[in-house]
Amino acid sequence: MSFLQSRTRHAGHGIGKAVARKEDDRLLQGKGCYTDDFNLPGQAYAAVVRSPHAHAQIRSIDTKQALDMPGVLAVLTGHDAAHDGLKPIPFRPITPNPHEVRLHASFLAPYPLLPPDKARFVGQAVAIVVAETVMAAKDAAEHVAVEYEVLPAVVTTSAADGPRLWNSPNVCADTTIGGSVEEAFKRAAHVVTLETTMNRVTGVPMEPRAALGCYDEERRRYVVYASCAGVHRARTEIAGALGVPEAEVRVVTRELGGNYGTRNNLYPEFALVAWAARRVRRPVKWTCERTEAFLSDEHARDLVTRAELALDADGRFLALHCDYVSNVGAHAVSFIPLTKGMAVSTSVYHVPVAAIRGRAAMSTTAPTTPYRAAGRPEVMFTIERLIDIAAQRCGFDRAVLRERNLVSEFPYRNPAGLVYDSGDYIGVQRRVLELADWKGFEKRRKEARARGRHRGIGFGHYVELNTGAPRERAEIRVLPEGRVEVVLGTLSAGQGHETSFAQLVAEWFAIELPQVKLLTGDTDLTPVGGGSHSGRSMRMGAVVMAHACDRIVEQGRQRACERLEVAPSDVEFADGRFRVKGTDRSIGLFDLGLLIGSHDETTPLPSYPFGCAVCEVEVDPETGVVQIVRHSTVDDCGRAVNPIILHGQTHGGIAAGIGQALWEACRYDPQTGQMLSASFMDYAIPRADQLPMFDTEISEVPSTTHPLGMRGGGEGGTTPALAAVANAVVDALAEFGVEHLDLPLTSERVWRAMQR
Amino acid sequence: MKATLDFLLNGTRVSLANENPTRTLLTWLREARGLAGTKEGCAEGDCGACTVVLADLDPAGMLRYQPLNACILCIGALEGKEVITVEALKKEGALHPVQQAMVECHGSQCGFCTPGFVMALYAQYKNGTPADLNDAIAGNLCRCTGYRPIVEAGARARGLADPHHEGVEDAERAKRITDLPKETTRIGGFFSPLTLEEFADHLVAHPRATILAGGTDAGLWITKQHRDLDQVAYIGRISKLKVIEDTEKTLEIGAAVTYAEAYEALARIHPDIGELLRRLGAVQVRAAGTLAGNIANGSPIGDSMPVLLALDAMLVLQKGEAIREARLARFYTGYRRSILLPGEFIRSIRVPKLAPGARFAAYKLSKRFDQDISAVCAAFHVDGSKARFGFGGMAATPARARRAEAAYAKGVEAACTALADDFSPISDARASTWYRIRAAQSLLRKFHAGASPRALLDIVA
Repeated sequence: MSFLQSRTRHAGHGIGKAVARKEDDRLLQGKGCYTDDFNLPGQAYAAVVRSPHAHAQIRSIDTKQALDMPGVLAVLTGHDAAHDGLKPIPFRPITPNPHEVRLHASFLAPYPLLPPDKARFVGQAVAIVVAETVMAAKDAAEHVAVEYEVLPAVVTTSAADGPRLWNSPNVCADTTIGGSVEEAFKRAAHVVTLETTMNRVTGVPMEPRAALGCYDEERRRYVVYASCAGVHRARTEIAGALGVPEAEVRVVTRELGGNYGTRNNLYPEFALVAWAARRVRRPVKWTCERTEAFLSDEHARDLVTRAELALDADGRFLALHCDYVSNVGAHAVSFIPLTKGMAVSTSVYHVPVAAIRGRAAMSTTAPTTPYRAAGRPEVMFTIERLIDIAAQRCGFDRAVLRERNLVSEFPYRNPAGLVYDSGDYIGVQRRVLELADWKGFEKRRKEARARGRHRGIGFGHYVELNTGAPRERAEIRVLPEGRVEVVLGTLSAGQGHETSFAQLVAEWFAIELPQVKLLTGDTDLTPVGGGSHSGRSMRMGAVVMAHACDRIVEQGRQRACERLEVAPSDVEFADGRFRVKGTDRSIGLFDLGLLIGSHDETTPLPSYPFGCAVCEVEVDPETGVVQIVRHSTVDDCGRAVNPIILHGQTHGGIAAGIGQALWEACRYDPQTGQMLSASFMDYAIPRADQLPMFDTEISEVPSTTHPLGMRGGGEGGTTPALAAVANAVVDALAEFGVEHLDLPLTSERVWRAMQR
Repeated sequence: MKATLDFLLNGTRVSLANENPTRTLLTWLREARGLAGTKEGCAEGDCGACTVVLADLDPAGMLRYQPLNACILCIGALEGKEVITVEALKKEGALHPVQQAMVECHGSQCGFCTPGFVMALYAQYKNGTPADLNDAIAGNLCRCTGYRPIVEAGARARGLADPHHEGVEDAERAKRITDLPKETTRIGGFFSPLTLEEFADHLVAHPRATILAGGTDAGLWITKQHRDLDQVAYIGRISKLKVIEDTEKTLEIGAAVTYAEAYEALARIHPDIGELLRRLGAVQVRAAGTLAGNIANGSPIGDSMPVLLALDAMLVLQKGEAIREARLARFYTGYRRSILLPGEFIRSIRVPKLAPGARFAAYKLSKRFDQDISAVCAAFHVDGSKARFGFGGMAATPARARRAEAAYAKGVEAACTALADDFSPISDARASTWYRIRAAQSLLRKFHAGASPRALLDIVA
């Protein structure tokens, strides 16, 4: 029997057990090793010269004054990069996954490490200075004289037909999927529409980006320590940008101080330090400042939507029509949020026909990329808002209207062609409404009103579309001293991999957690892997680990039967021992010498976690301040490995969702293209006092397409949160005739809505 | 006079002779001492990832523990103190209760902000204050956990066993701190005197010296503007500047008294002042920053000045041996400019207490409740026929609304109309001109109507 078929949950620290994290002892003592914690002998330091303009021709760069400053080793520009044969980063903005929506692009804007000709967003790297100290490098960076010819800025997609960034229209991709909805809209009893612009936000990992590069001339090999979300993708992209074979690049990441998607792709600096190290023949280190991070980290969301939902007289959905324009920024990094959103626009509802158009528009802003549930929060917001608007206008009960339209038979093919394998959408709705005491709300509303507050409640469903890099590999080594090493190509950014992956092995081999050691984050150690994103690490890691463990059992069985002098078919593996069936003769897993099993698999099949969230708010009519007073969720990630870790992921996701719903926004000045929210004072991520305690529950409907029943977890906190918060606030403001508000629901926006 | 910096690091005496005293504690810890557990998240005191705990003896001689942002703290300010970093909390194989509670509650995910939270909770654990754990971690940002498990960990730590015998540890620490050298320090252009006289003389001789108190602003000159501060006079060890004199009519606060130290006395004048101070930075900033520093810097959005203007605070200024007094209301002459003469310094702030029957209120409008920049900060004080309204965020300096004050006798609406003539504030990302004027008028009406700020959430975006 394969471990893939195992459904046991008997190990004390095994699958399904809420065990404390193994990595915590290290992290709680400050012993985590983040990229800036690496140092190499003789290292020099880089500082980046960034464009102060949103859009400008680079006329010339005079490096002389900077080069003459004390301690300066090199000043490198886009011309130097071109001279050395450096290439744009080989991004793949359009997913090759055959199960996903394929976007048709007319132009994919390249992302050079240092553009020689033109800067296209404020904060774009245009030169780097390498010096003996950080301060010398930063001082000299201020003396690199760049002559710019300022061109007009284009910061929103509504200005997409304005000045061009490239010799190509700013709208660079345009695709429509689904069927014809005209007939359905004609016969509809009700049609509701929504036009909304989703605020641009960014990931804001607490660890600023950092990289340390070196070059070994003898071995012709670059080594880059980088705060990236997956060493293999970074290796491919660094090698591509440097124009060298992948074998000449090694990437190492130990601890990653947060990712949330915005670190999935390579940043120019990670390749620049490697190149600079080769030029100056010394290791080169670069660490981002916080304002640099706000300017040059990738951003997310920023989607303009026009949507219409057709319903019959009973409230059954007949058709959905959506038109999305995604602001992809100055360079084509990732259009995945747009296509994922297109694919799950109908969410968990049965909509017979849908027509979904998606366009990507370039602008003089930082590129956008996946962030906490790439593309799904935007479209969940849209459909859940449409449903609430329909309920309000047509007199349906919000919960009943949803229940009437939820998909209940599986497998279900949605209008974009995705096949949802399994689920219990009605079940999670009923459970979360119970958890949130939906029925008791009117009493709470009255009580709040007596205190002068407007209380509202709202909820929303979600479905994820988890795919990600499809290839993963595990190598598992059983060491005779009683330890098991797991070599895997994923990388934790706080998801507790050392614990949850060890739980699998503890379950299958009946050993203790401390016996298992997870090895990741080094391309020399793990030849293949995909990193952490799109709920892929456990989902794919568990499968390749189960196969690898199966191989170990087979190897072990062979050796055991030789030692025990019986036929292989007479030996069974249970509780960590190979036992001769029907006897008490056995031999332990660790008594058979070194056992190694590995497995490498490519599985592009998507996965569909789902769930439902209820948010309850109070609005102060005098100030418009929204206070989240309660937030309840039920999430289904299929089979859960460690509930504590899953709840933690949900909590963080909720906080990010509430942050975007109420406060966060990357704001650009529409005239100058300057970013106005480039510090913690102006980009308002939530602080502790702004969030309530959360009620989070896990539902475990096993996935039928995953051998272990897993769907992947971690993103569900955010995905429905934007809709749930907005629905709750609009509910609180119903008596003011408010039908919709765009995010973020700042007190100013809410207060103005109440003055109408 | 000595030429070394003497302090304690995790129980060990440190005596530095060849270090730049304006180097930040964070870079010194990470680069010179290899203690990389303390993290840089922003280098401007906004995120708390660099939080360390400083143990020292308070003015009454009692051992206290304060969380501070190491990113903007100069090592020259550490004398007489013990720096405790996250690496020192686990002892003899046992995590500290706050660490243990963080594990049990799953309070750490990516772990980068974790050391800062651990140290903020450690200070709270040691002191038992602030009682509200949200206040204890208001200066720390986390992007992974949503904060709930961290708040739970802070509560749970109290109930856990005490494996390190904190009481014994405290006594040993107090002894170590007492034994530190008490001598004036001079290293190059850095001067850290023990007496007011030395300081006054030094400033006359070096009128261009930067006066360093908490460094919550000067620290950013170093980390963000990369300024080399060659002449620095640190006032944190001058006992005469650490005094709070509490008399029947006034409160006199020495220039080196921190917000944390002045908090109780100021809050006794009026609870609104306490509430405003609770929102001025966070624990880390209030443990370092001083009223005098806030005043001397003269930022138009400094949050302490509106209150002090409304109370008509007097500044006691000293140059050499000469002492003069000046009204805070007459102190500023322009954006970050004041009447201070070369070589002159603020010695103390004399804050008149409220007369019986006087009405007072203070308000702060910002995006978030904790640690945020004010869009508008206002304080109102009416005593009989005399009205004093202090504002921040409305002009190039903190300022009184003199036209509105004069018009208030004619009614609140007259005062609101006049207020629009008092100020022409800027429009920026934080608030527009229109908004600032309207908000200032509304706050005046709110004061007039007798609304306490604590009855409402004074947050805007």
